[in-house]
Amino acid sequence: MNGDLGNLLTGEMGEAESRFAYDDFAEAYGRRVAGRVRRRRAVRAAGVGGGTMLTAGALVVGATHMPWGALGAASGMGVGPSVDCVTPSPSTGEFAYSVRVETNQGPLGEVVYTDNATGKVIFRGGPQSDGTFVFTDGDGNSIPSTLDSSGAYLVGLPSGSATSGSTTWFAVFPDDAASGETRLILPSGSDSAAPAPSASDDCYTPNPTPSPTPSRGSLVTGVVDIPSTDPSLAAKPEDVVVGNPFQCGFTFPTESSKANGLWIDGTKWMDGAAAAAAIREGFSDPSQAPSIGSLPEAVPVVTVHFAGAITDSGLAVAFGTAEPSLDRLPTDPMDSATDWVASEGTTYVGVVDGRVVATGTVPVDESRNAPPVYLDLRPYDDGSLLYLLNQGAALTSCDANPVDFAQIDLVAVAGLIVKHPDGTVDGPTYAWTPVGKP
Amino acid sequence: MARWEPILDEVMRERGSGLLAYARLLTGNDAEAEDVLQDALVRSFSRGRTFTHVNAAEAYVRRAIPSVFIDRLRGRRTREVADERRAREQDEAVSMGDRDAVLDVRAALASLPARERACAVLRFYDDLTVPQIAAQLGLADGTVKRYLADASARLAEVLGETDNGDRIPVVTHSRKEGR
Repeated sequence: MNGDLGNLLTGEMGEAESRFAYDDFAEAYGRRVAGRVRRRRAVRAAGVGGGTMLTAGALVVGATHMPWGALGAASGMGVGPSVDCVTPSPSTGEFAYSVRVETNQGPLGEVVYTDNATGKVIFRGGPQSDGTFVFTDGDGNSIPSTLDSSGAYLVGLPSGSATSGSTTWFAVFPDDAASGETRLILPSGSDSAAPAPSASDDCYTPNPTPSPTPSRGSLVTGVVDIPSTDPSLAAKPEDVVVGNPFQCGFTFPTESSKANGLWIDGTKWMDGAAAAAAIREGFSDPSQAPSIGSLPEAVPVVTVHFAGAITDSGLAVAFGTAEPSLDRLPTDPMDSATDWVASEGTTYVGVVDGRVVATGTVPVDESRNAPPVYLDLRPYDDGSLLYLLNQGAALTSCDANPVDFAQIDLVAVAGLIVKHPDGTVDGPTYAWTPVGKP
Repeated sequence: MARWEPILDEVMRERGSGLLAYARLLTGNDAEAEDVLQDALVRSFSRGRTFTHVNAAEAYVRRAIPSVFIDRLRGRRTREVADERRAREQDEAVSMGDRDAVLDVRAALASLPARERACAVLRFYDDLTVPQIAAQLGLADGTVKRYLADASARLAEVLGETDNGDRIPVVTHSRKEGR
C-alpha cells in the first residue's frame, strides 16, 4: 500500500460514503432530528426573555426589539408564545417593550405582533392572494407599508402618541416570522430625535447609521422618527452621513482598510470561463453549483479573510453578500468556550469620488449568497473568494439614475460581527479595498 | 415549514452519507457515527442560525462533528471508557497479529484512542493546524501536539511498513471537497 495518510483517509472516507449512500439517514433519523431541533429552538426562544410562558404546540418565532413609545390601544389577542428579546427603552434606559409574534394557521397565516407589556396588538400582517402582505393596526385600520426590494416591508406606525403626527417605520419580514427567524427592525433614517438604544446582552444592536433610503442593505437597528409617510422622502443622500460601506452615501475615509480579523486582498480579474470553472470546481457534485449564466470576459475576484470566523475556528451564524448586522446573533449561552459565533458579509459597491453610489444587490432568495455576487466559502482554506459575476445585475443605483459603469470604481467591502462565549460582541467591523473600474 | 427545515432535510438527504463517513472516521464504528451526526445536526440547527445554503449548513455540521464527538467522550462514564479501552486493546492485538488488517486504514484508526483519532483526522484529513484543532476540540495546543505525536507514531507503526518495505509518509493533503 502506497500513498500518504491523507490519501488513505480520503480513500476510507470514499469507501464509507459509498457504503452509507445506501442508508437513508434522513429517512431513518430525519423526523427525530427535526423534532429535537424544534423543541430546542422553542425552549431557547422561551427561555431567553425570562418570565415568559411557552404554550405547548404553538409556533414560537424569534423576537425583536421595539424600543418606541406608547402605542394606541388595540384589541387584545389570545395568549400565545412569546418573546425572547428586549431592548432598553431609549427614553428611559429601562427595559420597556418586548414583542410577541404569533403566526396563525402556519406560514401562510396572519402574522400578529403583540406588545408584551400590554398584551395589545401592535399590528397584523395579513397575506394576500398574490403573496404580498397588508398591515393593519390593532383596530383593523390600515397602516402604511412599503415593500422593499429585498422583501422587507416598511411598516409605518404612530410613534410616541397617536396625536404626535409622526411615524416610525419598521422593517418587517413576514416570511421570516412564519419560519421562526423573525426580525422587526427599525430602519435607519435621517432624524435622530431619540437617542439610540445601546447593545444589550440579549440583543445585539448595531450603532444606528442613518441611510437615505431604507433598504435591506441599510436596515440597522436604530431609533428614528421620520415625519413623513413616505420613507423615500426621508432625506436626500447628500444630506446624510452613513456609517457602513455597504450603504449608499458612505464616504470611504481611506482608499482601503482592514480590521482586526477581517481584510481583503488578492484582487484580480479572471476570465469569465475560468471564474465559472473555479466556482464549479469547488463542488464535488457540479449539480450543486449555483447557476451562473454567461459571464463577461473579465470578472473581478477578491479574497476575503474572515479570520477567526467560519474559515478559522469559529462558527458562522450566516455568511453571504449582505451586511452582517442584518443577521441577529444568537442570544443563548454558548455550550463551550470555543463555541463563539460570527456573522459575515461581503459584496461590491460602486464608488464615485470615494462615495458609494451603487450598492451590491442582496439576493432575493434566502441564500443571501447567489450570483451575480457570489462568495465561494472555503472553510479551511486561506480566505474566501468573492466573485462579481455580472456587474449590471449586481449593482443597484443609489438614486433614480442607472448606474454609470464608465464612471464608477468598484470597491470590495466586507463586514464581520463576532459574539464571544462571554456574551461580548465585537463589531460590526468593516474592511474594503479598491478593485478598479468595471 | 420553518425556514431551517428544508435546509436540514437537504443536508440529511444530500450530504448525509458524506457526513456519516466523516463521523465514521472519528468514531470508528457506524452506530456511534450515526449518533454523533444526529447530535451535530441538532446542535447546529438549534440556535436560530440562519443557514442560507446547504453548503454553509454542511460546513457547519461538519465542523460540529468533532466537537460533538469529543463532548460525548467527556460525558462518557468511566465504565464505557474502560470498555472502549479494552476493545481498542483487542483491536490492536488483532491488528498487530494480522498483516492484512494492519494495512487497513480503518483498523489503524480504530487502534487509536478516541482523542488521538480525532486529532489525526482533523490534522491529516481536514488539514487543520494545531491551533485550529485545539480551538475546535477545546484542548490545549500542547495536548493536541502530544496526541498527534502519539497518533503519528502509532499510525506509522501500523501503516508505515508496506509489503515492499516502503514507508508511508504521514503528510497532509489539500482538501477541496466536503464543502
